[in-house]
Amino acid sequence: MLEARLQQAKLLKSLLEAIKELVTECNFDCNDSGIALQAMDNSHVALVALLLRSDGFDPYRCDRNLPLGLNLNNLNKILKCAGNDDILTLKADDGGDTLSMVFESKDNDKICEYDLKLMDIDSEHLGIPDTSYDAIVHMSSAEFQRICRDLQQISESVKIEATKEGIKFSGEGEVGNGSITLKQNANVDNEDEATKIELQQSVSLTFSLKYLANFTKATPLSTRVTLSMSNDVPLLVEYKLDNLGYVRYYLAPKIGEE
Amino acid sequence: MLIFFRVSLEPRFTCCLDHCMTSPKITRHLASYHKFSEKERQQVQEELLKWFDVSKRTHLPWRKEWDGTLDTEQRAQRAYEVWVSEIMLQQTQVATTIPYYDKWMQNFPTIHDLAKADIEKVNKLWAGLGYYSRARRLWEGAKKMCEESNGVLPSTAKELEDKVPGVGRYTAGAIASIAWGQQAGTVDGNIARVYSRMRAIGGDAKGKSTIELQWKIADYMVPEGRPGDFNQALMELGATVCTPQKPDCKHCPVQKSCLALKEVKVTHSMMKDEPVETSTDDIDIEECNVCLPNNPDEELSVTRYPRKAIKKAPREEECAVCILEKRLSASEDPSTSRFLLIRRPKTGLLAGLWEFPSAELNETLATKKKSVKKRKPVIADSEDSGDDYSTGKEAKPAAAQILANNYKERTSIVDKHLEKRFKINMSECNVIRRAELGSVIHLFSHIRKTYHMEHLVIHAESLDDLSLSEDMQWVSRDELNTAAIPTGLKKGIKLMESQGTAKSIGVKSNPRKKAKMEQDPAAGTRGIMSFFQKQT
Repeated sequence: MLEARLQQAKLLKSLLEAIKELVTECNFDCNDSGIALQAMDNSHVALVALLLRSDGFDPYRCDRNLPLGLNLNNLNKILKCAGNDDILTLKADDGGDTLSMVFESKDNDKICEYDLKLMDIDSEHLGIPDTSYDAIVHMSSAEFQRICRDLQQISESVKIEATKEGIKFSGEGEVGNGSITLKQNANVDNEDEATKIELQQSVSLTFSLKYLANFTKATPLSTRVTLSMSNDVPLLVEYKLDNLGYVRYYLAPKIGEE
Repeated sequence: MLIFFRVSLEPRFTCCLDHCMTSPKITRHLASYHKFSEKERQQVQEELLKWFDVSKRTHLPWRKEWDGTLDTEQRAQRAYEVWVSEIMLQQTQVATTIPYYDKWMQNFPTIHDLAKADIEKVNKLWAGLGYYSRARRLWEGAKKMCEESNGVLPSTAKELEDKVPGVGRYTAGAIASIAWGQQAGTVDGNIARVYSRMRAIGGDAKGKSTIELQWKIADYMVPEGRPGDFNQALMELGATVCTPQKPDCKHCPVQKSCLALKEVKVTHSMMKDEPVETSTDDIDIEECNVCLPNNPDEELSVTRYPRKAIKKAPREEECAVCILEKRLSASEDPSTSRFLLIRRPKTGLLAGLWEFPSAELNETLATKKKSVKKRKPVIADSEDSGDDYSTGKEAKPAAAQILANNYKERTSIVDKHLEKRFKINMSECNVIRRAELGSVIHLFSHIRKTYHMEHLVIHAESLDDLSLSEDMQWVSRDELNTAAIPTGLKKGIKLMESQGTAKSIGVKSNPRKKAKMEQDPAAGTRGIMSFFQKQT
């Protein structure tokens, strides 16, 4: 069985917002180390991997592997009923067909209980190899969101070029073109804003902006985002959840028409 | 580690313990080990028939007592009944079959009624049993028999197998023995298990030599009197006593003649005390070459027979699929669209089904680059598979992998295929749109096939010259949904629908100009699955 208590419902609410656009149904794989999720979007171009480590919950109990097949839209509907500061408890029995959720208000004067029906979902797990990327860019997640939103106004896709000077995002469309360059800086005063680049080799890759914009729905989860790139392999966009786990998105680069 | 010892029979043949411990074949033995002696044969026949008379299941509607006084007509009717029941029982459980059999017999009491029936009605009565070709073959067989022999099925197993559609070796043996009283052996799943255990046949259950051996035994064992009852008794024994798991050896009528049981007993007693009888190591003529090496981790039990077939790893195949659509105009009016379908060959994989033009990447490679090493053949020979129990996944040819990942390369292969097969010259075509859809993996029982899909839209005028053969057709989008297209490719249609109808694009078509990439977010992006390996 699973029993997991989260001090702030906000985290799970935001997580759902971050993935529900890409994935409609998937398994939450629960085991003694935590809750994990891996799913592809409908067109099998992007992949989401999510991990919530057990030590982020208090208490956390899950004796054996328990996949919880959920429709994310329905889960989201229920999570909307929880307040941001509510204490959230997830419960599921081995072999049961529902996920129970309890929301307790901070002052402990209100308790909501919801049960959500589970579904059987065939999941395909992809093994993701440990890649040493040619370029790893750490930057402000809000900045990344802004860039994606701005470029989406003029272009369908974005070219990302990482060099030792900085990282350049550029787009080109029927109305014109545009680009944003962030210089590598060590902003001592404001670490959240700093752009850091670990570079082995310059890279230049093109991605669908629609998907990137979708990934930035995870922005509320973390002030920082990491873009890891190598030529001709999928981009990894990672949002770390304060020692609790992560949300990772993978997107295959566009081919041709450079 | 448990070791099984072959029970030595005459001619006496035992081997030394050392040999047993080291040899992959746990104990070598003579081929004659698997034979019944004449004395045993009679004993088994007697005991089995005696048991059958007492403990057979009586609620099975197709089961009737053997009656030697029937005339030919009555016997032909019996043959029809046995035939229907045996065909129904293939791949289907007894309990499920009973109501279908009763319903069938009410509607088609004789073979003539069946022959006159409409195939629709036949299929309707079959609905729910699955494997519908069985119903069609029964019907075809009935028609053929009514035309050729006034509805009387042949009486010998050989003729039954040769003349009646859908009747294989097993069904032929069953009809000949049960309905016609012929001395014909037969081997179905149950009988194969019973004989495998009684004679300790350790060969791969699906292997040719194992099956041949079982048939040889079956033909030898079937008695002249009551052959049908004997065969049914064996099936019954397999279904009720000698079950795949947890056989009820204590209540088995032929336990005295069961080598599997004897081996367990001997091994037990040897593990306790008595030293093993040793003899010379010289191997006589005719050593058994059916049995596989022993698996030391196996449980000490009769259920180790029959030996499970070794599963071969599925073959990897890659295939570039081009969903070719022709449109009257570049505007997104789906009603003017037609899709090209090609019929697959009448034999082989997915025989007779329709598919999109596709180029096998493995083949292309094999012919294009001779240097690309062909797959390593998997050793499947039962004789010398040695320790080759876990035949790992075959290595995917490196070049095919590269092709699989490279859309540009694939488009050129598709272009060549279109030109060669259909005389469509892509450089002269007015392409409205061309986009990669992604890859779909479809698992067949023996092949792991990856379809790399693309969607190609060509102006209809460019394809006016295309001459259609019998195995080609243009269908509309609606027809596409109902056409007999393999499931794997249907996923491709879904991909196309999820991506293609997103928005209309007013690309001014310009002959001889390269297609513009579709403005769909996923377009031009390779499937994520081509980067990450699927886990099982």
